[in-house]
Amino acid sequence: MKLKLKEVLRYLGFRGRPADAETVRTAEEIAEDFLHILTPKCVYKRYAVEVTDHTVTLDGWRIESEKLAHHLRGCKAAYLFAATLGVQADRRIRQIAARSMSRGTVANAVCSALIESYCDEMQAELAERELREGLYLRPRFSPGYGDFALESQREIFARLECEKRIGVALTDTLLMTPVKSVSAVIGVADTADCTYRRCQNCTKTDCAFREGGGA
Amino acid sequence: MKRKEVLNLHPVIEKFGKSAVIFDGGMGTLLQARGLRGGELPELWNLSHPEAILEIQTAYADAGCDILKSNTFGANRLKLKKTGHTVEEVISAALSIARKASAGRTAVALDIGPSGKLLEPYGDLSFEDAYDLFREMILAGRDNADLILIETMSDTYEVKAAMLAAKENCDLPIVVTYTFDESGRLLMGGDIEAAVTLAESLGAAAVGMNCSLGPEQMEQFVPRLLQSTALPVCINPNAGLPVTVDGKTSYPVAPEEFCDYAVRFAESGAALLGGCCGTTPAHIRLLSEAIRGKPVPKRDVPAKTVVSSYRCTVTFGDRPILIGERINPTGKPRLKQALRSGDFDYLCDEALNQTEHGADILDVNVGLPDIDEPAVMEEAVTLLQSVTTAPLQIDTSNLEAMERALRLYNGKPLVNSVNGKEESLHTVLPLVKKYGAAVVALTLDENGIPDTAEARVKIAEKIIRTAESYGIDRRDILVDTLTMTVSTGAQNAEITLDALDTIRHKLGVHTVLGVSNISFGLPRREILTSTFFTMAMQRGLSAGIVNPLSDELMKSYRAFCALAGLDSGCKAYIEAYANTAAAPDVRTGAVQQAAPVQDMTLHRAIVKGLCEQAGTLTDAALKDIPPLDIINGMLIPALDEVGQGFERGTVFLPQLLMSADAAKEAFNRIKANLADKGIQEKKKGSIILATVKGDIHDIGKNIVKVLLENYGFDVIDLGKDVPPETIVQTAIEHDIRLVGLSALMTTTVPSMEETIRQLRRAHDCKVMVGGAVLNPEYAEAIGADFYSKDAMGSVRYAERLFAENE
Repeated sequence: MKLKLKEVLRYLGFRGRPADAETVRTAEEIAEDFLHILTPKCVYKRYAVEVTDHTVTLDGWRIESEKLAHHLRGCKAAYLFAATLGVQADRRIRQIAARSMSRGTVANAVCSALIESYCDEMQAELAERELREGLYLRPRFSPGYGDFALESQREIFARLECEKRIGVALTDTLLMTPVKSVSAVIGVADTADCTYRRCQNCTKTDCAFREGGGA
Repeated sequence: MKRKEVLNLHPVIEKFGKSAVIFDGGMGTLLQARGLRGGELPELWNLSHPEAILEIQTAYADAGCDILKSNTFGANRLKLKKTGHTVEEVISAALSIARKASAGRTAVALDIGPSGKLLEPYGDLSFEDAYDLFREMILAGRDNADLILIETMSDTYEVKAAMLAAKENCDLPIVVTYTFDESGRLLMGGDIEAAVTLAESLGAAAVGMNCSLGPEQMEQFVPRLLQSTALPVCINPNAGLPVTVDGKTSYPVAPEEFCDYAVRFAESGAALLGGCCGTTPAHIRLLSEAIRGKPVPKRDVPAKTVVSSYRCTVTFGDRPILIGERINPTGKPRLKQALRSGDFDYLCDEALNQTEHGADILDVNVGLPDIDEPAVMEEAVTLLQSVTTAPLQIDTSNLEAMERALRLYNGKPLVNSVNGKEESLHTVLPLVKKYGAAVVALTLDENGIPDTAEARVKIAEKIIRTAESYGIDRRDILVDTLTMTVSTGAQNAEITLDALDTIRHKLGVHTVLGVSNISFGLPRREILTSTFFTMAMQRGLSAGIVNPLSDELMKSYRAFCALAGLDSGCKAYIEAYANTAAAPDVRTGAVQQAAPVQDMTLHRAIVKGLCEQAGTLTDAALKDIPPLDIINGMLIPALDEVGQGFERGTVFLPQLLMSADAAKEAFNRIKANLADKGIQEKKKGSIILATVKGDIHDIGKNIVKVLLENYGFDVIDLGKDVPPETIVQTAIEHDIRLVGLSALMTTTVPSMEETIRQLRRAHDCKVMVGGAVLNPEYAEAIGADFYSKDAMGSVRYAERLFAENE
């Protein structure tokens, strides 16, 4: 896992403006500590998919979501994917925040950046594997994006056995615990597609964390 | 008093540890081959396809296993929720099928897997709810099972809930198997020894590992597992690591290879062997033919005295163990005040300070005459075990507080203490036994503290005997021969140490002393205390209850360890003292003494976010400026300056919070100063903060809390995932004028709306809301009075509101 400092600063609200040296130093120091203690884990399975204009069907599971269907257009297969930094991340953030809220907040942002880069790295490995077959991965698309219902989490979790394999469980409200976890569908297509950028496709334009500035 | 012995143990149980016992193999993979769909609950097949389950289990019994696992792994209330079937129904059906398949040839285990939830504080299932979940399964299965198998566990806390549920609701033997990852840890972070210690302390009949790994990956952990317990050891691997092709999972290790590994495990001392995912009747048949009934090799496992946290164990008997004494309000006005006001951050800080300075175990004493000790103890233990990896020593004479702490503690705790009085023996020891704790035994009785070593040894012998009659092994007792201050009797140290020596060396029982009492009433106490500590270690002290922040004491400790051959290569000594001159005393606060800085004002220290200097400068200011003037004249203007910068966009969140941390340090010094003088600090008003039900993201709320507290508000922090009812009830109870609610997810905003609705019905107060998905319109739509776009926003609103009210 590599720390993307730019992402950390974005989560901390700098939005492209220069950060002070102290914050940068703290972020780097905390990241080093986390990289030392964390054992991130992921689990994924590859399925054949059928995509129509507004549905995706996978392993007998029919997903009604135009956004997801649009995202997976042209895909014949897809991965269900989940990853986590593990409960140790939550513990450490809590421990740090108990003594210093500023360091705790930076630690929280560092972990948000780390789980994303861990997912990127795992996805790059999968992409490499697929490329050998002449296939390309689409970016991750997670339950809760657009009209891809959060209820889909249950279906993903049941198939990946996330609790048992990587220690991630859903709350009654379908949030993931430990908190620094990601679940997603990743399409496999026979053409490359570089036009998609996560934030730019999102309709919540006043989001404080939007890439490339925002409201 | 003692639990009734089980009368009719199944003959297979009698074989545990004597001759090799064979568990059956996998179920899920075989059901998938028969058509179980992705995401479908295998346990429902007990009702929909009983013949398939019967066929598989009959094949396992035919293959020669000794124990069949019922198909009930996930048959808990949460997983069955939307299926239309009850736990009772599914488990009864499963056990009937297993019984039928067994036809008297095997024992049947009620199989219990993890809840599928993360426990609080990292997930949303409380310990007691986890207990209820497991209890329900046990009630449904206890009458038709021969043992309980708690398996595939990756959290010691869940194991504790399940084991307590089993022990309190049936007399069946319990086998516990954990799932370790390739680094030999549980997903929740515990190592092999910590996991095994917890299961053993709570009375498991056998303990081991299953699932996740194949036999090849498990092999490296087998010696550690066998060394960590004298209990029979169980190993149920998967048939290798899973391979998934087009959504179908398969396991590569064939029966022959699987069997070769299992034979090696058995030869090295494992007593129960079987398989998990991907293993089949063919695997089990080979295994059974090779080892079933063969004598289990004798193992040489040293009897150790061990306590544990969720993560690691601490073993007595090698180097002396340091038990940090500082979480104890006696003589500490600031801690008293923190306990009374529910300031648990202060406790966390004390805990982390001590472990950073070398404490192995933390003593937790929250006894104050005017507080609800059981409730505070419960909260303290829950919180401390979420931030520290050190095992806790539960220090209380309040039996209710003791039991609640023992129950909720995630590990094998140390209890402080029992003594030779009949009443103490017969109230404390049953709790120690039930919760599998180790215990400190004080050598005093109805006649007080004897003034001879012999008499103290006699009391120790009596306590040990009585403990043994309760089924507590003597290795779980640490005798405290009681340090009496040397100023009241020249022989006091000698008596204590003679008794200690005899108990350690003649009775072979570990010892502990509260060291610092030796110097009570004398000047420069650390000189006497540290030398007495050295003397005690020399005579066989296993653990000292000490202040690890005392530099003198730690010098003696590290020097002793180096000189007594307990610090190989003087590593710890060098690490502590290389490149140091004769250092000034370690301070007792959160930070080291800052060097004096020229031209630094308190105002500037806060603005720049310099914690240490803010603390030092506050201490200096307190010498001649009244506390209230420091707050209003220095701290608040500095905070305001930073806050305005934040609002203008020239200061960013991390900097705002650095200033907040610095201000908090300044307030801590002021609070300590007021507490020492016995002055109650004045608050501007009380505000409830909570992350709403269903939401577990609390960092935003915690930021708001720190800022509000710095501005002098009394914050009642209800935490995260808080039900509306709790918020309403607290608001009424404290006649609250302002409630702040936070929600990060779109999906939890309805819960925020519900909370506001309930508040409106029951109590007249203002509600401010915040969180990533909210905006002013949305906030208004759900009935909030104020939308706070950031942390400073809530401070400004609170200030306006409470100014109007004045």
